[in-house]
Amino acid sequence: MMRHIPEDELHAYLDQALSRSQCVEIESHLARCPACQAERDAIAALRDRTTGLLALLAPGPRHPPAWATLEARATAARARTRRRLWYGGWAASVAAAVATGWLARDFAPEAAGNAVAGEPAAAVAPATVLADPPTVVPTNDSALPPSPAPRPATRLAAAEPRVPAIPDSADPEDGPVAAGMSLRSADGVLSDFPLAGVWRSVSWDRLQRDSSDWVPRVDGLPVKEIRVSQRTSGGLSVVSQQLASGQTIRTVAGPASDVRSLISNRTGHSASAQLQVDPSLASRDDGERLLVILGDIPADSLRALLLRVK
Amino acid sequence: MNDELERLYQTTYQAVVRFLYRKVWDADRAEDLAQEVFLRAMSHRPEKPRAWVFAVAANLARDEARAAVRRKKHLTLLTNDPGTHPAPVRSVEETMEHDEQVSRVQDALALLTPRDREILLLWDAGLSYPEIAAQTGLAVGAVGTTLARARRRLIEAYDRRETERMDDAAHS
Repeated sequence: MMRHIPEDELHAYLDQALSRSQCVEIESHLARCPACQAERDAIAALRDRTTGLLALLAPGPRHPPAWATLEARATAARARTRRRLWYGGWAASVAAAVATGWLARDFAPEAAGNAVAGEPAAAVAPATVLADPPTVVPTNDSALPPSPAPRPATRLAAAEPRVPAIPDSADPEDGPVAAGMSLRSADGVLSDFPLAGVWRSVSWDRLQRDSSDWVPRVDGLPVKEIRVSQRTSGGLSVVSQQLASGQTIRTVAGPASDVRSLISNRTGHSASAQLQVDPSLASRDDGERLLVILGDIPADSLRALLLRVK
Repeated sequence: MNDELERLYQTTYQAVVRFLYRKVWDADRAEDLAQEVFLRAMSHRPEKPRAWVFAVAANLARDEARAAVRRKKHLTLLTNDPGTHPAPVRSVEETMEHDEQVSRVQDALALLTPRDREILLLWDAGLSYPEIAAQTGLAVGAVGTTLARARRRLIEAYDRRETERMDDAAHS
């Protein structure tokens, strides 16, 4: 019994999406199979009709502006962004100075008390942290994150010096911190992916500049958000990326035990989410590291994405 | 790099506008978004600019659709935008027939699942199977299957609309 050519293969054949050897195989079958010839003609007609109908949904010929015009716009936009960043940085410095002054006034007796107790640095550390630029650099045209509200933020900073933390939204104890440190990205991409511990966001620009700060992710997909754990020395990271279909996939990478506990702890994620663990990737790094891609897409698609992780 | 982008711009601009138009149904807006896509490409300098351009276009269109819903203007997505089609000289009857046909195709397209629609539009914009696969997360082998289904369903939905219209006309 001769195997007929499946419908999708005929589409791919007509779309010239097959290799030469596959084409030869299909053509030799077509030459002796009237049923498949008829099917091919029907699919060709369907394909042409589809193209014809879609052609009706065209906005009419447009006249694109000259490339030079577009380049001039890009240059102007870059200059605006630089100015905004400069002003933003200046505003942050002013806020830091004001906050320092306020704290100096507010904490002076407390600091004196601490000095007696042998902890003189308590009032100094917060100012250093505040003066530090936020780790999150806006990737598009949005302005810098608002200046931190002085008191809760600095109290956190004193507790966790030098850590511009992204608090875990699922942890109610971190509530006041969230109010103080407005470093969370606007769309809260990871809001359904609770992260325990102290995390920081890394901007895409920064990541590209700093090759030592490498975070595994799927090559060629727009990055929505990157978070790196502050506490794991082995570099535990979660990267959210968007597929053209609008779905978000997440690449979790790091020491195997951390990745496993992160995956097992996650809650509120759709039950249909599929988890693919690629043993070859795990073993590639001494078996101590693990890389997982999560997303509500078919398993074979997840596997295909796994091959594109850089 | 910029030369490559410029070439891409010359060859792909119309396809990007068309791709966006079929998502936002407003020719001027589609053109604004297409230019925004290329502006971004200039600063990002993507490795695979063609696929990148369509990925960003898809994202912008999605943001645009969300904003449209927020503005409660979503009804305009379903209506015909008379200013956006080429306007060859047609009789009133021909114009009406053309507009009805356009509206039927829009309806049929809206009946596809988001994934089928996306893949059909990406194919129609000129992307190859591997490019579509890379952008949507589908396996390359699944692109043909999805396209086959999307084409079949589009034509079926269109023909169904056509039959309904004939029935309505017969009853009125």
